[in-house]
Order: sequence, then C-alpha cells, then structure tokens
Amino acid sequence: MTERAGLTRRGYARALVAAGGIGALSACLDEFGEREIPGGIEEGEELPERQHAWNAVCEADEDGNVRSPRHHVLLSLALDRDGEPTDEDRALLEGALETLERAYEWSTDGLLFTVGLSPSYFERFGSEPAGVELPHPTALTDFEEPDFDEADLLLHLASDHEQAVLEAESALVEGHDEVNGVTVERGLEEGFSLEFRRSGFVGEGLPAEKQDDDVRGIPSSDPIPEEAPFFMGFRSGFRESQATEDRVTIEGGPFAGGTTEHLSSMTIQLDVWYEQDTHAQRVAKLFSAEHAREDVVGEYGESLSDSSGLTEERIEATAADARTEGVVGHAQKAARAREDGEPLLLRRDFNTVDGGRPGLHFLCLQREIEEFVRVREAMTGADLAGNGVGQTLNNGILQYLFVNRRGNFLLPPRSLRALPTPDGEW
Amino acid sequence: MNRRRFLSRAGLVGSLAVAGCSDPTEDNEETPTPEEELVPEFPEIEDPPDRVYLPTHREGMEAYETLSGDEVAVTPMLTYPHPFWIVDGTNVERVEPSEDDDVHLMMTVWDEGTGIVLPMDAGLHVEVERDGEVVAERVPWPMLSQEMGFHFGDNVPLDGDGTYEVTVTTSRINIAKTRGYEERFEDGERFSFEFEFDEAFRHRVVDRIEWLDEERWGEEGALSPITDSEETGDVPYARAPSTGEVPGTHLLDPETDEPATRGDGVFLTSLVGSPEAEAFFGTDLGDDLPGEDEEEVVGEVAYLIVSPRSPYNEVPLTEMALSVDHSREGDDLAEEDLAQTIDSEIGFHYGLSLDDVAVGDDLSIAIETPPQTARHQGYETAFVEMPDIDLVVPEAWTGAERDDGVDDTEGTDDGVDDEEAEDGGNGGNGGDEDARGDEE
Repeated sequence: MTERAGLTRRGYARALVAAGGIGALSACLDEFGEREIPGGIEEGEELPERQHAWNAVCEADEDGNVRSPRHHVLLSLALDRDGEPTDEDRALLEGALETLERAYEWSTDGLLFTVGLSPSYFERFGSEPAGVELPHPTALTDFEEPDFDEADLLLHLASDHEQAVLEAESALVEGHDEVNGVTVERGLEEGFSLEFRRSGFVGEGLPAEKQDDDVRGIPSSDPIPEEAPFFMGFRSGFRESQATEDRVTIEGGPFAGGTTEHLSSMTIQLDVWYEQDTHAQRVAKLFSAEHAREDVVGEYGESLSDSSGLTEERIEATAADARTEGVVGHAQKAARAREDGEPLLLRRDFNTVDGGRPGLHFLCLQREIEEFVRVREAMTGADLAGNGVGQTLNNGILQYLFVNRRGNFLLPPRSLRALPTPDGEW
Repeated sequence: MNRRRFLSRAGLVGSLAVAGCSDPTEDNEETPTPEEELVPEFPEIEDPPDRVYLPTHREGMEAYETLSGDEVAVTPMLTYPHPFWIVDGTNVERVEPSEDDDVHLMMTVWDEGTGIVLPMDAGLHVEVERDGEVVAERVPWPMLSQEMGFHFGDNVPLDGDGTYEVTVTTSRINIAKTRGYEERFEDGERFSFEFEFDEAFRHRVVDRIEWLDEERWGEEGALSPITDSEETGDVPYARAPSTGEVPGTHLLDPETDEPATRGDGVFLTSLVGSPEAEAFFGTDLGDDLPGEDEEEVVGEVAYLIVSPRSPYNEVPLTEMALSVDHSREGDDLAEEDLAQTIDSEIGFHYGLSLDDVAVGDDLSIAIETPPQTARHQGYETAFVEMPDIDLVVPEAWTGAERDDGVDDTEGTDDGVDDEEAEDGGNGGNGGDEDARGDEE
C-alpha cells in the first residue's frame, strides 16, 4: 500500500488517487477521516443533457478562467459480451451511473463524470454512429508510435476530493457496496472488464508536491513552482484559448447534445525542460519569443489574466517568427487553427505519474475529431520545420513530449450514454 | 534522488596528474573522502573570443560499434556529463550537467553507402532502460562539436552502476533530398545497444581527457576530429564538401575574393547551370519565375548551393534559415527561402532553384536564423551574429550548356553579352569545370 512517510497531506492524497483501489480508499478515509461530500439528485431531478456540462459547476478565477477538478481517474472498460450489447448490459451500466448521480452532487465538490464510446464499440454493430465522424485513432506525427485505446468505454471521473473519485471507482469496478451513503446494487464487473485505469491531478500545488515523491524524470532540484497547476510550470486553459461548451457540442443527428473526446497520453521530458532550458526559453517555447523578450508571463503565468496574451499579429507571424526568432511557441502555433478567432478545443487535460514518470493525459473535447486533428497539425508545425526551427527543435514543446497512447471517443448526450446503437437508439 | 558523483576523487586527480595539468577541482572547499565521487568539473575560459577557439581539453569518450540499419547507421558514443550550450534565435545559454546526470550520450547518424552524416531533421528518440525499466527518455539535441562534428547528444541520468540498454529511433528525413537521395530515408528505423556503466568505464573516459596547455585555451583554432583518434577507431565525421567537390560557378566575397565568412562560418556558395542543375530540381523547384513574358529572360536556370561550415574542421552548419534576394541592376527579381537539402554527393547544404540568373546579378544571402544547433565548448561564441552576404554573379557564370545558342544573348543590352563571350573564350566548359580547375 502507498506509504504516507514523508508526504504532505496533498501529496499523500494525490498518491492514493494514483494507486487507486479499495485499499487506497480506505487509507484515504483512515488518514483524513470521512469528508462530508454533498449528495446528488433526488428522484425526479435531472442533470444537464450534456455530459460535458461541467463549466457551470466548476469554480472560475477572478479572470473568468474555469478551474478544473483537482483529481481525475480514467477507467477503460471492455464489454464482456461479444457482438451487440443487450438491454441487460445497458441496465447494468445505466444503473451504476445513476447511482453515482444520486450519491454525489454534480460539482467539483461532488463528482463529475463522462462516459465515452470508442469507434471499436460501434463496430459491434457494423456501422458508424449517425451524424458523427468518429475515426479510429492514428499516429498524428512522424515521430510518434502510440498504442491505441480501443476498449469500448472510457469513463472519466473528476472531483476536487480524492475520496470521491476513489470511492466512485471502487463502486464501479471493485465491488464496493456504498458510495457517499448510497447503496450500490450492482458493480460493472458483472458485465465489463477493466482494461486499465489511469489517474492524474491538476491545480496549484499538486505538481510541485510530486517533487517530494522521488518520481523518475522529475529533477532533484525541485524546480516546479508551488503555484503552477501543471508540471511544465505555467498556467494554461485560459478562457480565451478554450472553446465554449456550445462550440464543442454536436448540433444535429441522434447524438445532438453530445461531443467528441480525444485522449492522448504522453510522458514529459521534465528534466531537460527545467535543467537545461532557461525560464525565458520555456516561455518562448510555450507562448512565443515575444512573450519571453517582453517578460509578459511572469514566473508561472500569473501575469496573464484570461488569455495567453497572443495577439492576432503574433499568431499570424508564427511562420515569420520561426525564420527570424529561431523559436516558435506552442500556444502560438496551436492558435493558428482557430476559426474566426474562436478556439476549437475545450481542454480538460491533467498531469499524471502513471508508469512512474511525469506525464500528461491530454483530454480534450471538440465537435468533431477532425477539428482536433487540425489543431494538432497546427501544433505540430511541420510547415515551420526547416524554416528556422526543426521538426522538434525549438518548435514549441514537441521536444519534451512523448505521445504513448491515443484514443477517440463519442460522449453521447446523457440520455444515450449507456450503450446506444449507432442510430442513437437505446 | 541523490547526487551521484562520476568518479572517485582519487581517480580524477590521478588522471589529471598524468595529463600534466593542474587539478581544476583543487580549489574546492569541500574535502571529500576518497570514496566520494566527482563529476569532472572543467575550468571555464573567461571571456572566450567571439569565434571558433580551442577549448581547455579534448573530451575522453568511448565509441560503440556502429549499428547498421536498412537506410541509416548510428554510431553511439558515451562520456561523462559535461556542459554544452543550447540556442534559440541568437540566445546562447550554457547548460550545466544537472545533479541527476550520469553520462553524456552522443550519436552520429550516417549513410554507410556514401559516408555522409545525416542531419535527421526530426531528431532522434532515445530510451535508456535498465532491467526493462525506462530510466530516461530523450529527444537529444542536434549538436556541433569540434571533435565529434555534427551529432545528437545530451546529458542523461542513469540509475546506478549496471548494464543499460539504449533504444534509438530515427524518423524519416523531411528536408529536400537530391541526386539519388530523393527516394531515400522515407521511414524511421529502430536500433539498440548496450553499455556498462561502472567504475571502470568512468575511469576509461576520464583517463582519456587530454588537457591543452593553459596558454592555448581560447586560441584561434579547433581540435582535430575524433576520426583521427586511435582509441575510438572509425567514427563518422560530418564534413562539408571541399571547394572542389561543390559543383558550379563559385561566388566569392568581393572584398576578400574568398568564400564569404560570417560569424566565423564559411559560406561556400555556387551556381550550378544546366544540365547539371536539373538533377537538383527533383524535390525543390523554386518559383523564381522571370515574368509572364518569356522574352524577358536574359539569364539561365541555376541551382544555388550555399554550403556553410565551420572553419578548420568544415563541419556543416545545420538548422539555419537562409533566404536570397536576387536583383539585377537594382530591380528585384525574387526573394526566396533556401531549402535545407541533403544530397548524395555533397551532403547537407541549403539549395534553391533560380530561373533567370545572369552575369552581374546581385545575390544577397540573408542569414535569418543562425545555426540553432547546440554547441560543445569552442563553438558557442561563433555562428551567432551573421550579417547578410552580398555576392555578384561572376563572369565565369555561363549557366546552361548551349547547344544552339538560342536566345541566350537576345534582348540583353546590359553588357552581359561581352562577359559571356569572355567566358566562352575560356573553353566554354561551364562554370562547373572552371571551378574544379581552380581547385588546388
């Protein structure tokens, strides 16, 4: 079991979420006592039809930037049955999810969750989901060879409280019989197999505390700022660079009200990032050379308010910056894919130490997977390579990220989340 | 993680004593026990000159057997962690080994068929494992070193003494490829090798350090390439083509009558005429079109080669952005970016096809970005400030081999005729042959 020795409260909580399981849950309860977590909906009450309707119940900072839940668990599940799911399978899944809705308030204080369906799931029916392009994941750059997440379902659990995600996970897949005072009738293990679990965290203090845990790949010099919400040391997810929930919502067809989700899991070369690059180089590679020169970011992004501070001019000058500055920023490159100034992706990414190394689960929502691919192409900046920057060298942060896995999912509207047919029947 | 020290103090002092040099660690206030190990600490040269200079020492290193793949070969080398410099734009930042670093890992990627060292523009992906567990993952820096030439390298942390397996993955080469390289290097390959990290290794590499006499530190010059070293055997070394190997009519700096030098980098520049030029056009045909009216063409098709290299060792300078401003009597004809190109004969260079180049034309080459490659000691102050290079197409330029003389002098009322006639008097073999003839 995860040892508390030497860990702060937050560090231990995060370590327990990383470990997972009933053991972690009971250690969590032993250590911190049972936290009072607000309960969920009563009979007759309803939650938003959009599973991804999180922003309204997440806190925002003074600049209007939405703050993600601090603890995350991803469960990849395969339906045991071959072929099309049955009503019994549907009832099992829907029953488990409704239990969570009754047990926890739909908030960061309670529990937020989504269910995604993979392209492989729809292959059980021999046809693609109506009105939605849901391609199988592929490698998106020349220099990655990812494995692909092809299990039927991806459950994403998120909360500010480690206890909530651990308990929900235990109820779903480990036979735990009670969640936040609500009895669990049946666990998903009756019809599904857990292919893997992943976990993570985001928010001020959490990445810095990971430095105490002796994770390989985190420099011994403890360079991550205490205030940084992400491992790479800067705030991100600024309101102005995030798509709205409306923008990512599917508008027509049986899955209207749903969205698509891309999950790329990667490790981060943090030792080079912190021990070799200077702060100014990190700023140039994350934002732009101008950001670095004019020092507009601050230590961890505190000088930025509701945007990454990229002007239209800077975004348009990306190619010119490559040739004359010898470096382009990740945010600068990605912003080139905006449509009429509007970002296409709603990022809900979080850091991880899955596999014992620092990493990122880049989870993001968009109306169509193709939009993600477009933004990713802009982010890859292959068009810039050979023009003052390399394929990876000084080309944003590509040199520091290693994509290990990719997966594409459809997040149906809530009413269709439990194993719909491709025509959106239930 | 605790600070791991590279070598016992006794061992390091011993090696320095053998080298006949003062111990750069002797001022260290700590008095470590004999068991305590130290990463070699190298003295800094105060205020090094803004040019290529002799560092304090030759690095000791160990070369491993070349790994041969279908398309490329990788020669790995390993030494102690040491400082290097990384570059963004014109910012050059010194990188000290971190307390976690245990070795400096280097790899040269090359084509065994031609001996040409390849720039691998997508970089390499490296995983270092011990007992199946990844201890480090890297996209190592493209680097310039006097001894190693162009290679990929980085300081890397390990996990104690033992056997390590390194997996090196290459990617396709995306830059322009010419003259037999067009279809090559389309796929990445995977290589692996093992090394033993132990006290014996650490002693071997430190014992191989060769200190230069202190009065030579910072002197103009460069250490000779490692290929000349007996200890390491046959290691490929990136060398830019010699003057005689670069085809075409060479363009010289009007002030020196030599290839232009900027920021201590030497820019061998030439224009290749038809039909030889066409061989280069396979992957990059510029759009330096002379205009709607064909009759306005007074010059010839050309392939412009710019081959920048370090002085002394002639290491090609990669990761630059170059452009050329082509004008005639003050009228702009074109402003074009040169493409990073790998050629099966002359190796890495910057190239561009031009459609209408005549004697007397001005070609101004702008170095928009200096080499973004990381640098070993002795190269970090050079190749940074690189002003434009203004060149004039010399009289030796005849462009195409003309079999019928069609319209080559039509419509030229600018004196070009006379110059071409003079060149014809030289035997009419084309600039290419002339340049070769001039080579000593």
